[in-house]
Amino acid sequence: MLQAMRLRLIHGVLVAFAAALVVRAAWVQLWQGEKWETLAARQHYSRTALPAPRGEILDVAGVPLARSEVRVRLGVAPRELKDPRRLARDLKRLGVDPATIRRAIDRKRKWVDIPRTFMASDVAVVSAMRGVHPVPSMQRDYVPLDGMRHIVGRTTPDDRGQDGLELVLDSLLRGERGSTRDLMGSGGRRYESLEALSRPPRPGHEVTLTVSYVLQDICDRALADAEARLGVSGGDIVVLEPSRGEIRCLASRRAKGPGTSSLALIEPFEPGSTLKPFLAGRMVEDGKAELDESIETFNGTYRDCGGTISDVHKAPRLSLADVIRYSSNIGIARFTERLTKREVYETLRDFGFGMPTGIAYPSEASGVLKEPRLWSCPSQSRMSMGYEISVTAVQLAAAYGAIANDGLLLVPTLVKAIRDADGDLVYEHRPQLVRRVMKPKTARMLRDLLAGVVDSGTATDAGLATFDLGGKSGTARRVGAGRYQEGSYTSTFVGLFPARDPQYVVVVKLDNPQGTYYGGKTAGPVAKAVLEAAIAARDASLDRADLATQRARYVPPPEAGPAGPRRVAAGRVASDSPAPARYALVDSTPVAPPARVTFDLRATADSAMPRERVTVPDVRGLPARVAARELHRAGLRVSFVSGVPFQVSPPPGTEVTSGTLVRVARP
Amino acid sequence: MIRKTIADYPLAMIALLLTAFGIAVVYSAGQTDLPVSAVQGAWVRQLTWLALGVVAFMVITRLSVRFLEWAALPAYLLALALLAVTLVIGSGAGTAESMKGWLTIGGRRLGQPSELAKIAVVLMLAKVLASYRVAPRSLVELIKPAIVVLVPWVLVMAQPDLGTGLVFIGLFFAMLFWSGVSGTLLLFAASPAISLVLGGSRWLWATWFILLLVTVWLVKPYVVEGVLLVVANVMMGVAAPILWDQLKPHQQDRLLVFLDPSRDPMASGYQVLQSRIAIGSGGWTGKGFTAGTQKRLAFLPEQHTDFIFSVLGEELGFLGVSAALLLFLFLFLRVIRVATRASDSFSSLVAFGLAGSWFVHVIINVGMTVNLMPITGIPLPFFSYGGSFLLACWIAVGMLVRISAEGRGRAGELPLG
Repeated sequence: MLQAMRLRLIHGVLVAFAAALVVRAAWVQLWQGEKWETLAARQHYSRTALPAPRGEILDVAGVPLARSEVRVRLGVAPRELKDPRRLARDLKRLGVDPATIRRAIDRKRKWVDIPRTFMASDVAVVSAMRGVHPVPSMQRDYVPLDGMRHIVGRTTPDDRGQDGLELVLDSLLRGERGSTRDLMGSGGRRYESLEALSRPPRPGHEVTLTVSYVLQDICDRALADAEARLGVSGGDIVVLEPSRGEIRCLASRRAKGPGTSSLALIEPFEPGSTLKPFLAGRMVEDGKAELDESIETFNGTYRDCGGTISDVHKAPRLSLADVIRYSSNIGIARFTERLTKREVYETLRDFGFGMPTGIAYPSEASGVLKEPRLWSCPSQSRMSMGYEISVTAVQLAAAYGAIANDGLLLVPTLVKAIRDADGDLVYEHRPQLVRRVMKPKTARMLRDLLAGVVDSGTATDAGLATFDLGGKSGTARRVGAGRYQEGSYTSTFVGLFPARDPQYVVVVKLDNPQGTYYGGKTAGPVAKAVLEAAIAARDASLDRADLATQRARYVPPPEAGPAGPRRVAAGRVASDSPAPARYALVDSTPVAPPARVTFDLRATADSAMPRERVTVPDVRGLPARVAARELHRAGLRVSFVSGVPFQVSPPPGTEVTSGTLVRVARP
Repeated sequence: MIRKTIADYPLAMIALLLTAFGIAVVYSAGQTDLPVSAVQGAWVRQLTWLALGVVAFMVITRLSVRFLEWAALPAYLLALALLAVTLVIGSGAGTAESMKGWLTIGGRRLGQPSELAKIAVVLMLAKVLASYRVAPRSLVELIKPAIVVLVPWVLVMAQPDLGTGLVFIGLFFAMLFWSGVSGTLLLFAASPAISLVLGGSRWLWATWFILLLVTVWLVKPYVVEGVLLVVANVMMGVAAPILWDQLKPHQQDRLLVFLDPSRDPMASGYQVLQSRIAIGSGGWTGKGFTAGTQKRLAFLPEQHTDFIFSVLGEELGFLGVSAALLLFLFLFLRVIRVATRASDSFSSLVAFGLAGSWFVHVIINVGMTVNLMPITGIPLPFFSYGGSFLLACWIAVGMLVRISAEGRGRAGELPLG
């Protein structure tokens, strides 16, 4: 019937429309849902990156050498300002110059950057003002010591490593950026909200170096002093702890101006006579010569391969010991004739010359050690006295380290330990063996021999009053314009302190000393000054207990005596260092008590701000004021944000440290 | 004959559920991150209006349908008077600042006379149509009912309130259909309007016009009628471009943006886009009650009135949307049931007219939030915040319950055989 048809039509229309709406809703919400969600998220949330502080770099005693801090840059949008006069007043109090303040409140401008960084706490009030936009930025502060800056390196303006250890360890030092997700309202208004909980930035690893701030300062000053006193055009000082291969200082100075890197690792030089002990040791070890075996030295003039070798200490005959003691060029050249080219080459190569030491530092030089097939007639004799070969100060220190270390060549290192942001140890330096280069007996023999050099040989000026010092001086003509220059020398001294059981290998290299140029007369006294200052400073990572036995043993002239107790290498160095003020960059040499203080990096970090654990009280459902009071009573900070009402973060019942910020969604 | 029957509880329950659902969403619409006090407290005011509406419901259910029939003319005249007065002293409000929809005396907005007018027109139209012995067979017979709707329509469009105007047209055709007017006649009645819409495109209009000529030739109405029809359609086709230019720019934009929402994403298309982002990002179950971010962060326009369905879609997701649409479907089916079982033509037409009016509201409002319809300022019955509308809805529910109670208890003939 008509009626039934119409009713059916009406029902049909109803259902069709309902279906159309439901299908359409399903299409928009389910099928296209993700697209709209993405669009919603794009306009609702704004992600702000939070820079992570770069890890700290500490010296061996825990003195901060490089430290990053979150600073705040301020941008001002003058047109958004509500109270420009208040801003002007506050900026003036912060020490911003009047011209910038005038610009910052000039309504004709859209945006003004205040060209400075501030401590976040100083600008907390200003940052909260409408129209002021704080931007967190990282500032890296360095200890004001040139030598240390060369080792540590620098960072680029965008907080990446640029050179030095900052570059090598960049991936470890760099932290993980955090981010906040702010809610954005229509019209660009920002809201703090629970949904916007941020991922906190994770600071980079903390790196503890083997370098001692105090000793580095001593070395830097010694070089400055040498420049003033001896007129040198430059120089390097390396102090190495031989039993662990840890470099305690790495100083370089050039008259042409401070460079950016540590040249003791980068600029090789001809070492001269400091190379002699290595070959002497090899010959004795192989039974090719005895220490007391003498050889004709022709009263100081010897011709070979069309050249003339001359000696300062002129003698008709010298024993091998005296060849080293008086640094006889003729003597070592003639003794070395007993070795084959191959043996000379291998000996020097085994001590690590001609190749990088493997220290973690950018652009380490390998020096030059020619292969025998490239040698000319005089090469062997020249190389025996330290010519036709170039080495870096660190290579030389490492090679002497092998003598000090009973014949074990170790990889030198600048990095002692690396801890992550939680203070957990990620890396700890352990002595890293390259190879055994001689028998312990030979090493002992060489140490005695080197003690004799300082005692009665070419380097008596380096002698210390209280401790026995071993060492070898070297003087090499400098190369310029393709040939050896008259009157231009590199003076070198390598010292082992104390001589028999060395805790330090000191390499001093001076470029072009004026007047007296012999290594024993110039570089030797510098090494002596460094060691004296180090002993006096009492904070140069010396094992005083061990030194005491050595002094007792060596002050009376008779040489022999029972061997002192062997040192326990591990963990010894740091234990003698008093805890420094960790949160202040030290500028002066601290005169600290010699008491043994265990230095625990983590303990200091925690004890700096004593905090107790508290439980977040359950404030859900309470009026805002009551909730805030409860949380404050528990020792927590409170921030009310918008979001699902009564949501609390961290949730009630969680144990947190007092002072933690608790976010509560506004009821 | 009045039977003693129990009230139509299912109908009242559906209406109550819809209202409760609506007030909950109005409450949620006020929960924003930058609270707007007018929106924040809207749900409390809405509750007050509901109380008033329930009182009106009680009173109406105790009034005989005969009283309603008697009151049709006075109510109609009162509505026209109020509409006319509103044009003079009315004011805009909130979402519709530019239109004079509110009767305002001494700065206090008393309500929207157009809501009263919708009910009054339904009553008046039902009374007029019920007075016919048989359903109108010619256009001439449709003139009287047309005038009943045309007068308030003109007054409403003068505000201008396009949404209510559409409702009048919708209920006019719905009631004509329910009264038994033939499909062809309805087509003829609607043909000038169709010409007006298609007049924008020469080709579409030409096709339509030929179709109309064929229909007229086949049906063979009175000559005068036929000629008038053709002339009216030609005039409308010609007038369409001229009238288009007469439209307010924002009305033109709304129509164009409907056709191509990406036309102007920052201005006219902004509301469409934000509404779609809101409802689209709801997914299956939504972001949680009061937790809709589009709404919280003030991206969603008119979240408590015209775009309340977007809030629902964002926070309760597809399931919430389906639940609401299902409730509306139940409501319409129940009201049609009331219409089929009504005791006489007048009651049946009133019931069907009210359902038609709500249907237009729901289709346009929901259609606009899911971008099936152009943006038209039209509220969603029982949901959107607005006192007079909620009151009007509950008055209508009262009438329907009374009609149901006086009904025959079984399906009967169409109002006009």
